[in-house]
Amino acid sequence: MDPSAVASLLLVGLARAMILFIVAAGLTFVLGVLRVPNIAHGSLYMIGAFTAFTIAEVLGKNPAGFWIALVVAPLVVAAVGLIIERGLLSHLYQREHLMLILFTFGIMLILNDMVKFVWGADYRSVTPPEILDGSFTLGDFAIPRYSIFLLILGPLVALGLWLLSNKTRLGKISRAAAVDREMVGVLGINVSWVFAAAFVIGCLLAGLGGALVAPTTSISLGMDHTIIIECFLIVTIGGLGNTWGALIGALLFGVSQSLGLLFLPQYAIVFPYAIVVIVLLLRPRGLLRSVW
Amino acid sequence: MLEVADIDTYYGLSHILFGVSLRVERGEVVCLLGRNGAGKTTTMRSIMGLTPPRRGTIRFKGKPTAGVEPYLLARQGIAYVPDNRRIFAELTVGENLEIAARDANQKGEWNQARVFELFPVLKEKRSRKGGHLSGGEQKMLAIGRALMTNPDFILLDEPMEGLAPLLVRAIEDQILQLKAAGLTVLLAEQNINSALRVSNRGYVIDDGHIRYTASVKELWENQEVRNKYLLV
Ligand SMILES: Nc1ncnc2c1ncn2[C@@H]1O[C@H](COP(=O)(O)OP(=O)(O)OP(=O)(O)O)[C@@H](O)[C@H]1O
Ligand SMILES: [Mg+2]
Repeated sequence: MDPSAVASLLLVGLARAMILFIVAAGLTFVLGVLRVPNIAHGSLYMIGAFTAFTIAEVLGKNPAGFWIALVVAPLVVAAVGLIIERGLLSHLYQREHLMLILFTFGIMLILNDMVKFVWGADYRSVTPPEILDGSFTLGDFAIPRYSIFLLILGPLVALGLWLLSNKTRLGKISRAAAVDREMVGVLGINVSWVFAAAFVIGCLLAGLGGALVAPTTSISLGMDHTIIIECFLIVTIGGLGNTWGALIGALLFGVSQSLGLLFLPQYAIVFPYAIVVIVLLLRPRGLLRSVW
Repeated sequence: MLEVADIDTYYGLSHILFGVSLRVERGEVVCLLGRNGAGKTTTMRSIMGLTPPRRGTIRFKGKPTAGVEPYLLARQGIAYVPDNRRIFAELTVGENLEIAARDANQKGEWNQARVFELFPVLKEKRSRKGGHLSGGEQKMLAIGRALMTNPDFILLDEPMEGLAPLLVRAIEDQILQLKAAGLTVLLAEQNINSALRVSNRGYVIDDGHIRYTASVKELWENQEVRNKYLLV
Protein backbone atom coordinates (compact mmCIF):
# COMPACT_ATOMS: atom_id res chain seq x y z
CA MET A 1 0.00 0.00 0.00
CA ASP A 2 1.16 3.49 -0.85
CA PRO A 3 2.58 5.00 2.34
CA SER A 4 1.80 8.56 1.32
CA ALA A 5 -1.84 7.65 0.77
CA VAL A 6 -1.91 6.07 4.20
CA ALA A 7 -0.40 9.17 5.73
CA SER A 8 -2.82 11.57 4.10
CA LEU A 9 -5.78 9.43 5.02
CA LEU A 10 -4.62 9.33 8.63
CA LEU A 11 -4.14 13.06 8.60
CA VAL A 12 -7.64 13.63 7.30
CA GLY A 13 -8.94 11.25 9.97
CA LEU A 14 -7.11 13.19 12.66
CA ALA A 15 -8.45 16.46 11.32
CA ARG A 16 -11.98 15.14 11.40
CA ALA A 17 -11.32 13.94 14.94
CA MET A 18 -10.61 17.55 15.90
CA ILE A 19 -14.10 18.63 14.85
CA LEU A 20 -15.59 15.65 16.64
CA PHE A 21 -13.59 16.61 19.71
CA ILE A 22 -14.77 20.21 19.69
CA VAL A 23 -18.42 19.22 19.43
CA ALA A 24 -18.08 16.33 21.90
CA ALA A 25 -16.24 18.58 24.37
CA GLY A 26 -19.29 20.85 24.45
CA LEU A 27 -21.58 17.88 25.00
CA THR A 28 -19.43 16.44 27.76
CA PHE A 29 -19.05 19.81 29.49
CA VAL A 30 -22.82 20.18 29.72
CA LEU A 31 -23.12 16.55 30.82
CA GLY A 32 -20.50 17.04 33.48
CA VAL A 33 -21.65 20.30 35.00
CA LEU A 34 -25.42 20.28 34.45
CA ARG A 35 -25.90 16.51 34.26
CA VAL A 36 -28.05 17.08 31.21
CA PRO A 37 -27.63 14.73 28.24
CA ASN A 38 -28.39 17.32 25.59
CA ILE A 39 -29.79 15.49 22.57
CA ALA A 40 -30.28 18.86 20.86
CA HIS A 41 -26.50 19.38 20.80
CA GLY A 42 -26.31 18.05 17.23
CA SER A 43 -28.99 20.51 16.12
CA LEU A 44 -27.00 23.36 17.62
CA TYR A 45 -24.01 22.16 15.61
CA MET A 46 -26.18 22.14 12.49
CA ILE A 47 -27.36 25.68 13.22
CA GLY A 48 -23.70 26.66 13.53
CA ALA A 49 -22.99 25.25 10.07
CA PHE A 50 -26.01 26.92 8.44
CA THR A 51 -25.28 30.22 10.14
CA ALA A 52 -21.70 30.06 8.91
CA PHE A 53 -23.05 29.45 5.41
CA THR A 54 -25.38 32.46 5.59
CA ILE A 55 -22.70 34.78 6.92
CA ALA A 56 -20.18 33.62 4.32
CA GLU A 57 -22.80 34.13 1.61
CA VAL A 58 -23.88 37.57 2.77
CA LEU A 59 -20.29 38.71 2.94
CA GLY A 60 -19.79 37.23 -0.53
CA LYS A 61 -16.41 38.06 -1.96
CA ASN A 62 -15.07 39.52 1.25
CA PRO A 63 -11.96 37.42 1.99
CA ALA A 64 -12.61 37.78 5.71
CA GLY A 65 -16.05 36.19 5.30
CA PHE A 66 -15.03 32.76 6.52
CA TRP A 67 -13.21 34.14 9.53
CA ILE A 68 -16.10 36.33 10.52
CA ALA A 69 -18.43 33.35 10.16
CA LEU A 70 -16.11 31.31 12.35
CA VAL A 71 -16.50 33.84 15.13
CA VAL A 72 -20.10 34.94 14.68
CA ALA A 73 -21.75 31.56 14.05
CA PRO A 74 -20.73 30.13 17.46
CA LEU A 75 -21.97 33.33 19.09
CA VAL A 76 -25.33 32.98 17.37
CA VAL A 77 -25.57 29.38 18.58
CA ALA A 78 -24.56 30.47 22.08
CA ALA A 79 -27.37 33.02 22.05
CA VAL A 80 -29.85 30.32 21.00
CA GLY A 81 -28.44 28.20 23.83
CA LEU A 82 -28.92 30.96 26.37
CA ILE A 83 -32.57 31.31 25.37
CA ILE A 84 -33.10 27.56 25.63
CA GLU A 85 -31.40 27.37 29.02
CA ARG A 86 -33.10 30.37 30.61
CA GLY A 87 -36.47 29.73 29.01
CA LEU A 88 -36.73 25.97 29.41
CA LEU A 89 -33.96 23.92 30.89
CA SER A 90 -33.39 26.05 33.98
CA HIS A 91 -36.84 25.07 35.20
CA LEU A 92 -36.20 21.38 34.72
CA TYR A 93 -32.95 20.53 36.50
CA GLN A 94 -34.78 18.94 39.39
CA ARG A 95 -36.40 16.41 37.06
CA GLU A 96 -35.07 12.92 36.55
CA HIS A 97 -32.73 12.11 33.70
CA LEU A 98 -35.29 10.41 31.55
CA MET A 99 -37.41 13.56 31.59
CA LEU A 100 -34.39 15.69 30.70
CA ILE A 101 -33.58 13.41 27.78
CA LEU A 102 -37.15 13.69 26.55
CA PHE A 103 -37.13 17.47 26.94
CA THR A 104 -33.90 17.91 25.01
CA PHE A 105 -35.24 15.52 22.40
CA GLY A 106 -38.23 17.84 22.08
CA ILE A 107 -35.92 20.83 21.76
CA MET A 108 -34.06 18.98 19.01
CA LEU A 109 -37.28 18.48 17.06
CA ILE A 110 -38.19 22.15 17.42
CA LEU A 111 -34.74 23.36 16.39
CA ASN A 112 -34.69 21.06 13.38
CA ASP A 113 -38.02 22.41 12.21
CA MET A 114 -36.75 25.92 12.66
CA VAL A 115 -33.69 25.13 10.55
CA LYS A 116 -35.95 23.72 7.86
CA PHE A 117 -38.08 26.84 8.00
CA VAL A 118 -35.16 29.27 7.82
CA TRP A 119 -32.80 27.48 5.41
CA GLY A 120 -34.99 24.99 3.62
CA ALA A 121 -34.04 21.47 2.69
CA ASP A 122 -31.39 22.28 0.08
CA TYR A 123 -27.76 21.33 0.31
CA ARG A 124 -25.44 24.25 1.01
CA SER A 125 -21.72 24.67 0.96
CA VAL A 126 -19.06 27.07 2.12
CA THR A 127 -15.75 27.62 0.38
CA PRO A 128 -12.77 27.91 2.65
CA PRO A 129 -10.68 31.07 2.37
CA GLU A 130 -7.82 30.98 -0.08
CA ILE A 131 -5.04 30.28 2.35
CA LEU A 132 -6.86 27.21 3.66
CA ASP A 133 -7.96 25.94 0.27
CA GLY A 134 -6.31 23.10 -1.63
CA SER A 135 -3.34 21.21 -0.35
CA PHE A 136 0.38 21.40 -0.37
CA THR A 137 2.65 18.51 -1.10
CA LEU A 138 5.62 17.09 0.71
CA GLY A 139 7.25 14.68 -1.74
CA ASP A 140 4.25 12.80 -3.04
CA PHE A 141 2.35 13.26 0.18
CA ALA A 142 -0.61 15.64 -0.25
CA ILE A 143 -1.70 17.52 2.82
CA PRO A 144 -4.99 19.42 2.69
CA ARG A 145 -4.39 22.85 4.18
CA TYR A 146 -7.73 22.84 5.92
CA SER A 147 -6.75 19.66 7.79
CA ILE A 148 -3.62 21.35 9.07
CA PHE A 149 -5.75 24.25 10.23
CA LEU A 150 -8.03 21.88 12.15
CA LEU A 151 -5.07 20.05 13.64
CA ILE A 152 -3.79 23.34 15.02
CA LEU A 153 -7.16 24.54 16.22
CA GLY A 154 -8.21 21.33 18.01
CA PRO A 155 -5.37 21.34 20.56
CA LEU A 156 -5.87 25.09 21.05
CA VAL A 157 -9.49 24.49 21.97
CA ALA A 158 -8.42 21.69 24.33
CA LEU A 159 -5.92 24.05 25.95
CA GLY A 160 -8.53 26.78 26.20
CA LEU A 161 -10.95 24.43 27.92
CA TRP A 162 -8.26 23.30 30.31
CA LEU A 163 -7.47 26.90 31.19
CA LEU A 164 -11.16 27.65 31.59
CA SER A 165 -11.70 24.72 33.96
CA ASN A 166 -8.56 25.11 36.01
CA LYS A 167 -7.61 28.75 35.96
CA THR A 168 -10.86 30.68 36.01
CA ARG A 169 -13.29 31.13 38.86
CA LEU A 170 -16.16 30.05 36.64
CA GLY A 171 -14.31 26.86 35.75
CA LYS A 172 -13.49 26.00 39.35
CA ILE A 173 -17.07 26.66 40.43
CA SER A 174 -18.30 24.51 37.54
CA ARG A 175 -16.13 21.62 38.67
CA ALA A 176 -17.49 21.98 42.17
CA ALA A 177 -21.10 22.30 40.98
CA ALA A 178 -20.67 19.16 38.90
CA VAL A 179 -20.35 17.10 42.08
CA ASP A 180 -22.31 19.04 44.70
CA ARG A 181 -24.47 21.87 43.46
CA GLU A 182 -26.27 22.28 46.78
CA MET A 183 -23.02 22.97 48.62
CA VAL A 184 -21.96 25.48 45.96
CA GLY A 185 -25.21 27.35 46.60
CA VAL A 186 -24.57 27.28 50.34
CA LEU A 187 -21.36 29.23 49.66
CA GLY A 188 -23.42 32.11 48.31
CA ILE A 189 -22.95 31.29 44.64
CA ASN A 190 -25.94 31.53 42.35
CA VAL A 191 -25.66 28.10 40.77
CA SER A 192 -28.39 28.92 38.30
CA TRP A 193 -26.11 31.37 36.46
CA VAL A 194 -23.20 28.98 36.63
CA PHE A 195 -25.35 26.43 34.83
CA ALA A 196 -26.43 28.99 32.26
CA ALA A 197 -22.80 29.87 31.59
CA ALA A 198 -21.81 26.21 31.30
CA PHE A 199 -24.64 25.51 28.89
CA VAL A 200 -23.71 28.51 26.78
CA ILE A 201 -20.10 27.32 26.63
CA GLY A 202 -21.32 23.92 25.48
CA CYS A 203 -23.39 25.59 22.75
CA LEU A 204 -20.49 27.78 21.73
CA LEU A 205 -18.46 24.64 21.09
CA ALA A 206 -21.30 23.02 19.13
CA GLY A 207 -21.53 26.18 17.01
CA LEU A 208 -17.78 26.30 16.50
CA GLY A 209 -17.80 22.66 15.39
CA GLY A 210 -20.58 23.44 12.94
CA ALA A 211 -18.78 26.45 11.51
CA LEU A 212 -15.58 24.43 11.18
CA VAL A 213 -17.22 21.52 9.43
CA ALA A 214 -19.01 23.82 6.96
CA PRO A 215 -16.20 23.98 4.35
CA THR A 216 -15.57 20.23 4.52
CA THR A 217 -19.01 18.88 3.83
CA SER A 218 -22.35 19.65 2.30
CA ILE A 219 -24.52 21.38 4.85
CA SER A 220 -27.96 19.88 5.03
CA LEU A 221 -30.84 18.96 7.26
CA GLY A 222 -30.03 15.69 8.93
CA MET A 223 -26.36 16.47 9.49
CA ASP A 224 -27.22 16.62 13.19
CA HIS A 225 -28.10 12.92 13.36
CA THR A 226 -24.68 11.44 12.69
CA ILE A 227 -22.82 13.92 14.83
CA ILE A 228 -25.03 13.48 17.88
CA ILE A 229 -24.69 9.71 17.76
CA GLU A 230 -20.94 9.94 17.29
CA CYS A 231 -20.57 12.49 20.05
CA PHE A 232 -22.56 10.49 22.55
CA LEU A 233 -20.39 7.48 21.82
CA ILE A 234 -17.24 9.57 22.12
CA VAL A 235 -18.16 11.05 25.49
CA THR A 236 -19.23 7.64 26.73
CA ILE A 237 -15.95 5.95 25.86
CA GLY A 238 -14.02 8.97 27.13
CA GLY A 239 -15.78 9.11 30.51
CA LEU A 240 -18.82 11.34 30.97
CA GLY A 241 -17.92 14.93 31.72
CA ASN A 242 -14.21 14.45 31.03
CA THR A 243 -12.77 16.82 28.42
CA TRP A 244 -9.58 14.83 27.90
CA GLY A 245 -11.73 11.75 27.56
CA ALA A 246 -13.62 13.50 24.77
CA LEU A 247 -10.29 14.20 23.06
CA ILE A 248 -9.14 10.59 23.31
CA GLY A 249 -12.55 9.32 22.26
CA ALA A 250 -12.61 11.62 19.26
CA LEU A 251 -9.11 10.56 18.19
CA LEU A 252 -10.02 6.88 18.48
CA PHE A 253 -13.16 7.52 16.49
CA GLY A 254 -11.55 9.61 13.74
CA VAL A 255 -8.49 7.44 13.31
CA SER A 256 -10.37 4.15 13.33
CA GLN A 257 -12.63 5.58 10.66
CA SER A 258 -9.67 6.31 8.37
CA LEU A 259 -8.03 2.99 9.11
CA GLY A 260 -11.30 1.34 8.18
CA LEU A 261 -11.37 3.24 4.91
CA LEU A 262 -7.86 2.10 4.25
CA PHE A 263 -8.16 -1.60 4.90
CA LEU A 264 -11.79 -2.54 4.45
CA PRO A 265 -13.45 0.38 2.67
CA GLN A 266 -16.77 -1.38 2.29
CA TYR A 267 -17.01 -1.91 6.06
CA ALA A 268 -15.29 1.32 7.08
CA ILE A 269 -18.30 2.66 8.89
CA VAL A 270 -18.27 -0.28 11.27
CA PHE A 271 -14.76 0.34 12.62
CA PRO A 272 -15.39 3.19 15.05
CA TYR A 273 -18.39 1.38 16.46
CA ALA A 274 -16.36 -1.77 16.94
CA ILE A 275 -13.81 0.29 18.87
CA VAL A 276 -16.60 1.70 21.04
CA VAL A 277 -17.86 -1.78 21.82
CA ILE A 278 -14.39 -3.01 22.72
CA VAL A 279 -13.68 -0.02 24.96
CA LEU A 280 -16.99 -0.35 26.75
CA LEU A 281 -16.52 -4.08 27.28
CA LEU A 282 -13.15 -3.43 28.85
CA ARG A 283 -14.04 -0.21 30.67
CA PRO A 284 -17.79 0.23 31.01
CA ARG A 285 -17.40 3.63 32.70
CA GLY A 286 -15.15 4.98 29.97
CA LEU A 287 -11.41 5.37 29.56
CA LEU A 288 -10.93 8.34 31.86
CA ARG A 289 -12.62 9.26 35.09
CA SER A 290 -16.27 10.14 34.75
CA VAL A 291 -17.76 12.75 37.05
CA TRP A 292 -21.03 10.83 37.16
CA MET B 1 -29.56 37.18 65.20
CA LEU B 2 -31.60 34.05 64.60
CA GLU B 3 -35.09 33.26 65.68
CA VAL B 4 -36.70 29.93 64.85
CA ALA B 5 -40.34 29.86 65.82
CA ASP B 6 -42.39 26.71 65.95
CA ILE B 7 -41.18 25.06 62.72
CA ASP B 8 -42.29 21.76 61.26
CA THR B 9 -40.01 20.20 58.69
CA TYR B 10 -40.57 17.19 56.48
CA TYR B 11 -38.51 15.05 54.12
CA GLY B 12 -41.17 14.18 51.59
CA LEU B 13 -43.84 12.53 53.67
CA SER B 14 -41.80 11.93 56.79
CA HIS B 15 -42.45 14.49 59.44
CA ILE B 16 -39.13 15.19 61.19
CA LEU B 17 -39.29 18.41 63.20
CA PHE B 18 -42.28 19.18 65.41
CA GLY B 19 -42.71 22.77 66.53
CA VAL B 20 -39.01 23.45 66.98
CA SER B 21 -38.23 26.90 68.39
CA LEU B 22 -34.88 28.37 69.28
CA ARG B 23 -33.08 31.70 69.45
CA VAL B 24 -29.48 32.66 69.04
CA GLU B 25 -28.36 36.15 70.02
CA ARG B 26 -25.52 38.01 68.40
CA GLY B 27 -22.14 36.89 69.70
CA GLU B 28 -23.41 33.72 71.38
CA VAL B 29 -22.32 30.14 70.89
CA VAL B 30 -25.42 28.02 71.32
CA CYS B 31 -25.37 24.25 71.17
CA LEU B 32 -28.04 21.92 69.91
CA LEU B 33 -27.62 18.61 71.67
CA GLY B 34 -29.21 15.35 70.67
CA ARG B 35 -28.42 11.79 69.78
CA ASN B 36 -28.32 10.23 66.34
CA GLY B 37 -31.47 10.91 64.39
CA ALA B 38 -32.74 13.51 66.86
CA GLY B 39 -33.14 16.17 64.18
CA LYS B 40 -30.02 18.36 64.55
CA THR B 41 -29.03 18.28 60.89
CA THR B 42 -32.62 18.78 59.82
CA THR B 43 -32.83 21.89 62.00
CA MET B 44 -29.70 23.27 60.37
CA ARG B 45 -30.92 22.46 56.86
CA SER B 46 -34.18 24.22 57.70
CA ILE B 47 -32.32 27.34 58.81
CA MET B 48 -30.10 27.33 55.71
CA GLY B 49 -33.15 27.04 53.48
CA LEU B 50 -32.05 23.66 52.09
CA THR B 51 -35.07 21.86 53.50
CA PRO B 52 -37.47 24.71 54.20
CA PRO B 53 -39.97 24.14 56.98
CA ARG B 54 -43.62 23.68 56.00
CA ARG B 55 -44.91 25.55 59.02
CA GLY B 56 -43.53 28.13 61.38
CA THR B 57 -41.15 30.99 60.72
CA ILE B 58 -37.44 31.58 60.76
CA ARG B 59 -36.07 35.09 61.04
CA PHE B 60 -32.46 35.98 60.41
CA LYS B 61 -31.39 39.47 61.49
CA GLY B 62 -35.07 40.20 61.91
CA LYS B 63 -36.07 39.26 58.36
CA PRO B 64 -38.16 36.17 57.58
CA THR B 65 -36.23 33.67 55.47
CA ALA B 66 -39.20 31.84 53.95
CA GLY B 67 -38.79 31.53 50.21
CA VAL B 68 -35.25 32.95 50.24
CA GLU B 69 -32.83 30.71 48.35
CA PRO B 70 -29.83 29.31 50.23
CA TYR B 71 -27.33 31.29 48.17
CA LEU B 72 -29.06 34.53 49.15
CA LEU B 73 -29.14 33.51 52.80
CA ALA B 74 -25.41 32.86 52.50
CA ARG B 75 -24.95 36.37 51.16
CA GLN B 76 -26.94 37.73 54.10
CA GLY B 77 -24.36 36.14 56.37
CA ILE B 78 -25.31 32.54 57.22
CA ALA B 79 -22.72 29.84 56.66
CA TYR B 80 -23.22 26.10 57.00
CA VAL B 81 -20.64 23.45 57.75
CA PRO B 82 -22.39 20.13 57.09
CA ASP B 83 -21.69 17.08 59.23
CA ASN B 84 -20.45 15.06 56.27
CA ARG B 85 -18.09 17.93 55.28
CA ARG B 86 -18.86 17.87 51.57
CA ILE B 87 -15.48 19.08 50.48
CA PHE B 88 -15.14 19.40 46.71
CA ALA B 89 -12.89 16.37 46.34
CA GLU B 90 -11.59 17.18 42.87
CA LEU B 91 -10.60 20.73 43.78
CA THR B 92 -7.44 21.57 45.66
CA VAL B 93 -7.57 22.90 49.20
CA GLY B 94 -6.77 26.38 47.89
CA GLU B 95 -9.50 26.15 45.24
CA ASN B 96 -12.04 24.98 47.82
CA LEU B 97 -11.35 28.17 49.75
CA GLU B 98 -11.04 30.37 46.71
CA ILE B 99 -14.44 29.67 45.21
CA ALA B 100 -16.11 30.49 48.51
CA ALA B 101 -14.62 34.00 48.51
CA ARG B 102 -17.15 36.43 47.19
CA ASP B 103 -14.55 38.49 45.35
CA ALA B 104 -10.97 37.66 44.58
CA ASN B 105 -9.38 40.30 46.80
CA GLN B 106 -11.79 39.68 49.64
CA LYS B 107 -12.39 42.90 51.48
CA GLY B 108 -14.08 41.33 54.48
CA GLU B 109 -12.51 39.90 57.58
CA TRP B 110 -11.69 36.47 56.27
CA ASN B 111 -9.31 35.56 53.50
CA GLN B 112 -7.09 32.57 52.73
CA ALA B 113 -4.21 33.89 54.81
CA ARG B 114 -6.41 34.21 57.86
CA VAL B 115 -7.94 30.76 57.38
CA PHE B 116 -4.42 29.33 57.15
CA GLU B 117 -3.55 31.13 60.37
CA LEU B 118 -6.46 29.41 62.09
CA PHE B 119 -5.71 26.03 60.50
CA PRO B 120 -1.98 25.84 59.76
CA VAL B 121 -2.23 22.24 58.44
CA LEU B 122 -4.29 23.49 55.52
CA LYS B 123 -1.55 25.85 54.44
CA GLU B 124 0.95 23.03 53.96
CA LYS B 125 -1.58 21.12 51.90
CA ARG B 126 -3.03 23.98 49.92
CA SER B 127 -2.29 22.37 46.55
CA ARG B 128 -3.42 18.91 47.62
CA LYS B 129 -6.81 17.71 46.34
CA GLY B 130 -9.59 18.08 48.90
CA GLY B 131 -10.44 14.40 48.54
CA HIS B 132 -6.92 13.45 49.64
CA LEU B 133 -7.15 15.07 53.06
CA SER B 134 -7.78 13.15 56.27
CA GLY B 135 -11.18 13.36 57.93
CA GLY B 136 -9.97 15.90 60.48
CA GLU B 137 -8.31 18.06 57.83
CA GLN B 138 -11.50 17.96 55.79
CA LYS B 139 -13.46 19.19 58.79
CA MET B 140 -11.08 22.12 59.13
CA LEU B 141 -11.31 22.82 55.42
CA ALA B 142 -15.10 22.78 55.63
CA ILE B 143 -14.98 25.34 58.44
CA GLY B 144 -12.38 27.42 56.59
CA ARG B 145 -14.45 27.34 53.44
CA ALA B 146 -17.50 28.55 55.35
CA LEU B 147 -15.47 31.36 56.90
CA MET B 148 -14.36 32.52 53.45
CA THR B 149 -17.94 33.67 52.84
CA ASN B 150 -17.44 36.15 55.72
CA PRO B 151 -20.46 35.04 57.71
CA ASP B 152 -21.93 36.67 60.79
CA PHE B 153 -23.56 33.43 61.81
CA ILE B 154 -22.25 29.93 61.33
CA LEU B 155 -24.05 26.60 61.57
CA LEU B 156 -21.55 23.95 62.69
CA ASP B 157 -22.92 20.44 62.37
CA GLU B 158 -20.94 18.04 64.57
CA PRO B 159 -17.51 19.46 63.73
CA MET B 160 -15.74 17.18 66.20
CA GLU B 161 -17.49 13.93 65.37
CA GLY B 162 -15.07 11.09 64.89
CA LEU B 163 -11.96 13.11 65.65
CA ALA B 164 -9.11 12.09 67.93
CA PRO B 165 -9.17 13.78 71.38
CA LEU B 166 -6.29 16.08 70.49
CA LEU B 167 -8.07 17.31 67.38
CA VAL B 168 -11.29 17.74 69.33
CA ARG B 169 -9.40 20.07 71.63
CA ALA B 170 -8.00 21.95 68.66
CA ILE B 171 -11.45 22.44 67.13
CA GLU B 172 -12.83 23.57 70.47
CA ASP B 173 -10.11 26.21 70.66
CA GLN B 174 -10.84 27.29 67.13
CA ILE B 175 -14.54 27.69 67.89
CA LEU B 176 -13.62 29.85 70.87
CA GLN B 177 -11.41 31.92 68.57
CA LEU B 178 -14.32 32.39 66.20
CA LYS B 179 -16.45 33.52 69.09
CA ALA B 180 -13.76 35.96 70.15
CA ALA B 181 -13.68 37.23 66.56
CA GLY B 182 -17.35 38.15 66.94
CA LEU B 183 -19.03 35.26 65.14
CA THR B 184 -22.32 33.84 66.29
CA VAL B 185 -22.45 30.04 66.28
CA LEU B 186 -25.09 27.34 66.42
CA LEU B 187 -23.29 24.10 67.17
CA ALA B 188 -24.89 20.67 66.77
CA GLU B 189 -23.28 18.08 68.99
CA GLN B 190 -23.76 14.68 70.58
CA ASN B 191 -20.75 15.05 72.79
CA ILE B 192 -22.02 17.07 75.71
CA ASN B 193 -18.54 17.68 77.14
CA SER B 194 -17.19 19.46 74.10
CA ALA B 195 -20.39 21.34 73.51
CA LEU B 196 -20.51 22.65 77.01
CA ARG B 197 -16.88 23.68 76.94
CA VAL B 198 -17.48 26.14 74.11
CA SER B 199 -21.13 27.19 74.42
CA ASN B 200 -23.02 29.74 76.45
CA ARG B 201 -26.23 27.79 76.53
CA GLY B 202 -27.90 24.89 74.85
CA TYR B 203 -31.03 23.21 73.61
CA VAL B 204 -31.70 19.53 73.84
CA ILE B 205 -33.52 18.04 70.88
CA ASP B 206 -34.99 14.57 70.72
CA ASP B 207 -37.30 12.97 68.19
CA GLY B 208 -37.79 16.31 66.46
CA HIS B 209 -38.92 18.10 69.61
CA ILE B 210 -36.98 20.61 71.70
CA ARG B 211 -37.07 18.98 75.13
CA TYR B 212 -35.06 21.29 77.28
CA THR B 213 -33.15 24.54 77.20
CA ALA B 214 -30.80 25.93 79.78
CA SER B 215 -27.47 27.54 80.45
CA VAL B 216 -24.33 25.46 80.20
CA LYS B 217 -24.10 25.09 83.92
CA GLU B 218 -27.65 23.85 84.37
CA LEU B 219 -27.31 21.41 81.51
CA TRP B 220 -24.15 20.06 82.98
CA GLU B 221 -25.74 19.53 86.36
CA ASN B 222 -29.02 18.08 85.18
CA GLN B 223 -28.30 14.38 85.36
CA GLU B 224 -31.83 13.44 84.42
CA VAL B 225 -31.80 15.26 81.08
CA ARG B 226 -28.37 13.88 80.31
CA ASN B 227 -29.47 10.34 80.94
CA LYS B 228 -32.73 10.64 79.13
CA TYR B 229 -31.73 12.43 75.94
CA LEU B 230 -27.97 12.21 75.58
CA LEU B 231 -25.23 9.67 75.61
CA VAL B 232 -22.96 10.11 78.56
N1 LIG C 1 -33.20 12.69 53.40
C1 LIG C 1 -33.98 12.13 54.34
N2 LIG C 1 -35.16 11.56 54.02
C2 LIG C 1 -35.95 11.00 54.98
N3 LIG C 1 -35.65 11.00 56.27
C3 LIG C 1 -34.51 11.55 56.66
C4 LIG C 1 -33.61 12.15 55.73
N4 LIG C 1 -32.55 12.62 56.40
C5 LIG C 1 -32.78 12.34 57.70
N5 LIG C 1 -33.94 11.70 57.86
C6 LIG C 1 -34.53 11.27 59.14
O1 LIG C 1 -34.76 12.41 59.92
C7 LIG C 1 -34.48 12.18 61.27
C8 LIG C 1 -33.56 13.26 61.81
O2 LIG C 1 -32.34 13.21 61.10
P1 LIG C 1 -31.17 14.23 61.31
O3 LIG C 1 -30.17 13.96 60.24
O4 LIG C 1 -31.72 15.60 61.40
O5 LIG C 1 -30.60 13.78 62.71
P2 LIG C 1 -29.28 14.24 63.45
O6 LIG C 1 -29.71 14.72 64.80
O7 LIG C 1 -28.52 15.17 62.62
O8 LIG C 1 -28.54 12.87 63.61
P3 LIG C 1 -26.95 12.53 63.51
O9 LIG C 1 -26.38 12.80 64.86
O10 LIG C 1 -26.95 11.07 63.21
O11 LIG C 1 -26.37 13.35 62.43
C9 LIG C 1 -33.90 10.77 61.35
O12 LIG C 1 -34.90 9.92 61.82
C10 LIG C 1 -33.55 10.44 59.93
O13 LIG C 1 -33.76 9.07 59.71
MG1 LIG D 1 -26.65 15.11 61.66
